[in-house]
Amino acid sequence: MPLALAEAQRKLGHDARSYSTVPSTFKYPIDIQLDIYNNPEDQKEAFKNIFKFAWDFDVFHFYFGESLTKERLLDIPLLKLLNKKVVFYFCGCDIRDAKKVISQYDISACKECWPMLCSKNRELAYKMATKYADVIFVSTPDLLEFLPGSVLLPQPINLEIFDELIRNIDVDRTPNGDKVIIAHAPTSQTLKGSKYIIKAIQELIDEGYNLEMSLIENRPYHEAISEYAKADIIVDQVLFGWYGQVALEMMALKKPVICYIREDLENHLGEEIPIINANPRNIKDVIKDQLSQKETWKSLGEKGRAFVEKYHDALKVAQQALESYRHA
Amino acid sequence: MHKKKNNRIVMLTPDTEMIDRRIIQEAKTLIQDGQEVILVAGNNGNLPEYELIEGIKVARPKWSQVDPRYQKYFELNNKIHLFIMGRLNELHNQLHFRINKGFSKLLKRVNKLLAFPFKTFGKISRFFHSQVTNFFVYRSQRFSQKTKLQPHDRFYEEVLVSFRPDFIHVHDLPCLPAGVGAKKRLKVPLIYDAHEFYPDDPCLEEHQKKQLKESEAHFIPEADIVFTVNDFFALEMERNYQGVSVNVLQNAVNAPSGFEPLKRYDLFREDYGIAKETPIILFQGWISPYRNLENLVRGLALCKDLNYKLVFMGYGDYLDTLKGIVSEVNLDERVLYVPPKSQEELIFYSASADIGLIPYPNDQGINSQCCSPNKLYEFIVAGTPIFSNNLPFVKTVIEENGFGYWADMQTPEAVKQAFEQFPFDQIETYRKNILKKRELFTWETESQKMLDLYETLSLQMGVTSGNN
Repeated sequence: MPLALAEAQRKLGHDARSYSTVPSTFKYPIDIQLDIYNNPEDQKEAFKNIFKFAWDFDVFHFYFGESLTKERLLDIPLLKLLNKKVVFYFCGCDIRDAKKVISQYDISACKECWPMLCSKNRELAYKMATKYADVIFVSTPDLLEFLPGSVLLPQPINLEIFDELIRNIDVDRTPNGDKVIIAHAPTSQTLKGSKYIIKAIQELIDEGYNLEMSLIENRPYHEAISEYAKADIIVDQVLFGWYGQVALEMMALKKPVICYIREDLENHLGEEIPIINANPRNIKDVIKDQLSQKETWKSLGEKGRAFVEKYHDALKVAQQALESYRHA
Repeated sequence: MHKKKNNRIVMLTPDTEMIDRRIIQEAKTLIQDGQEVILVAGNNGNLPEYELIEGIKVARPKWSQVDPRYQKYFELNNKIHLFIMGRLNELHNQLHFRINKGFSKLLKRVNKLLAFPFKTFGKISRFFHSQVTNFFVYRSQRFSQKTKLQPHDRFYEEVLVSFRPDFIHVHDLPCLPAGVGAKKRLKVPLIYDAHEFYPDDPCLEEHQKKQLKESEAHFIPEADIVFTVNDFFALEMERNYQGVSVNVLQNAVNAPSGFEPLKRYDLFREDYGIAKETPIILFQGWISPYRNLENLVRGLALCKDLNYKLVFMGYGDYLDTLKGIVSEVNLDERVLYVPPKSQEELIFYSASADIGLIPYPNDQGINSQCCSPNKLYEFIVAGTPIFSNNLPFVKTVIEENGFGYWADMQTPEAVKQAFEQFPFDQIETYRKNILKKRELFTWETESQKMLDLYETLSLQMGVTSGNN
């Protein structure tokens, strides 16, 4: 996500860099990658970067409630003192109040999440963001309630990568008569409600449906994407209440996506989201229903692609972010 | 999808591996009612810090024996000490290496001379480290005396606060101080469930009992609801702690799924080939020295003409001692040892006995005298007639409802007499009486009392989720 935004901002004429001090499990590409927990040299480099970047850059767009000094956020007042623009971009467990979610919503990932995966510095990040940030972005609308005054900045996606993939695979493959491949790629089985999804698919297989489940886990990003591309239909998650990165990427690949969109968020964008809505209670029926209407998948895939182009194209998202920086 | 606002209830128990069935039942009932329950339990060092038990979120934080207010100073102190010692060793090794290279003949003497300042400096560092540690231990103790909160109470108070509960529900006296501390900080209601009258534990010395009674008297007024297991304990607590109102929540159980009360189960005879005409007398649960089992065995050994099979179904370190006593009185032929069963299986086996035994002693303080043991309710749910020692609460239940028979079992002779007088011809009548009234003793009935009290408290205190 940071790379997609930084690349788009560079295309728009700005000197933007994405920077991470800890490599991601899925090896997401990034402009500057350090490994401070395994490499002492990188620790020194990260320390130097605090001052170097504070001097070099005008806007700091921080992800997951962390900053140049990681979860302690010690540099935020310093950056403000230097008259830099500070932007926080919250993406989920870094700001979501699990207690509130569990008490208010019937279906939620927080309810299933144990031990709780909420960021340890959630309260500090909230305080620092509300006190110092020029702009606070959230990546999904369900997070807006936890940060009054925050702005929805949809997850950016570099569509060029997916255009290339589409050219190389047979995305128009209709599974009539063939075995249907259902892909599910959880970053965390608990949070995505994988047990409900796996159970539903297994039950349908037991009932004689010609299905195959492709469970994609712990794979480097590019490998995982190639796997998704082979699937006919994708189940993103059934607990969060909004679509995630996997759903986006699949829509970009023109694949039909099943995902749980919370009732009160369905019309948040002012238009229908081209996603098949399902929750833990009805996931089996929803899949069964879809298997009887494979002919609609192609048009659903097209709608999904158009939706992603409209809301998630990295260039458009970058433009929105730049506008917000300017007006902050 | 919105739902009505529900609350986060954080329970605290000192239990470690085996969590009391009462706690599990209460937690499950609250979850079924739509509440979120987090159970904070003890950790003896070998247990996972987080797990799900029967759908209940269980946290077992590990306590490092340090008052949490001083934790960071302790850590800093340790870090500084380790750093200094590490650097000293490193420097010493380097010098040693260089000298070894250059002046191998003089090595011994130089090394001795060198070791002296390093050793001295190491001693000084260790001295400061221990002085700083002692200072914080002293501060912790002083603070504990003032607030009556021991360092481990402070630790669990911090844990409770970190979960931001809407209700705090503590089990037994060891958890009450932490609950009160957290309640005061968060200003949320506190529920205190006393499973027994803790200060009267027969294992405790008199001064310990006095100390515990003082502690309970000090903290109990802070609880918004107090539960205990029967009227006898409730009266004892109200008598000891003026102005405290105690509610009764019996240790009742629900029958497991698939259990049919009207069906006659016969698992012992099927599994172990016991003759149909031999009555099966069952003792189930923890086999320990405080359960009057020696007198039971020695007394039964005196009943030469009685036809029976005594089944010990349970666990405990005392089992081997008990087996020794059984052999000593030549009762091996009459006794069967059955491994413990899961809660799901237990009732099926309880229902397979002809008589359920509760021989607990009545001379070891109020906790054993007025006990309302789990097995009483398990026998009732199973439809098994009960035979007990003279225990006030158990006796009341048996007498008032015609669930069985009680007699003095305090000595082997008394046990002999009790069994000789037991009306074996009334077993069917007792069974019928139980089947008629068993619903009154199920958790389904009891749990409603708990939910009603929660509801009332919630309305009184205007608790809404998200207050903290």
